[in-house]
Amino acid sequence: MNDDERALRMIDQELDAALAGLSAPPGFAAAVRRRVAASRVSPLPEILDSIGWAAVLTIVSLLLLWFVPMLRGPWWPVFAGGIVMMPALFYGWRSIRAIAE
Amino acid sequence: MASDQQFEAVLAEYQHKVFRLCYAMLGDRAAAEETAQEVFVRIWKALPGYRGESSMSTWIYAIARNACLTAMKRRTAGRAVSLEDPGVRAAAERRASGLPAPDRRPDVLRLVGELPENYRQVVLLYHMEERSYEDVAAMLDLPLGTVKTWLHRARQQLAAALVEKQS
Repeated sequence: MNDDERALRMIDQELDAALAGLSAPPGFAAAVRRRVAASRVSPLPEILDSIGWAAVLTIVSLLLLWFVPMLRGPWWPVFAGGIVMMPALFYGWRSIRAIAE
Repeated sequence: MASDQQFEAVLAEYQHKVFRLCYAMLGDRAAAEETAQEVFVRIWKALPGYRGESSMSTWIYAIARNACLTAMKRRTAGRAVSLEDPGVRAAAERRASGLPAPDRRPDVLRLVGELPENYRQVVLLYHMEERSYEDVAAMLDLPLGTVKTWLHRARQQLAAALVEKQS
């Protein structure tokens, strides 16, 4: 056996001993799960955003009803409900999209 | 949730392979662990959109390679070192006192670390994957012939370096 063959055998032995079947460290999967849990998107900010906008628009619609007597007809609940519902639906749709992404 | 179960299955099946791929590409255990964790977070985010156009392993290895390339770029970009860093200060003190750096790795592993990057990756993965050319080719997305050629050349370089060191 010449020097090169001996060197190759030594290389194989040392590298196999050091590396063969090298595993991820213990606790690796648990660390991954922790990172995944931390990166989950919370729907809470979107829900609060939606509630906030609905409240603002409710106040605006009540002020409109107060200052514009013309709106105080038999259809005013539909008008007020529409103003509240539209942004609520918009923010609901936006929230679902954000969570899906 | 179905995708959570699917993710758990992927994590159980690929955690060691992804860690080994990251270790081969980055050459550092701590960086490999950090990057492999990042790979699985990316997999978790992308799993609902996985349509099975490529095999699961091909898809996972592609994510892992991209994450490693990003980590390598980040490492190169942040290579500026501070003299306040304890490691740098210790090295400077050793140099001033004429002491050699502590030898932490066996000779052969150190020689592997001196190989060109592509050869180093192939050699490390070949031995980590219990000498499977097919696994190395799949993980690095290289043709089988290229893996064999690079491995042959790398081994010749290693043998020559070892003989020279011993003589």
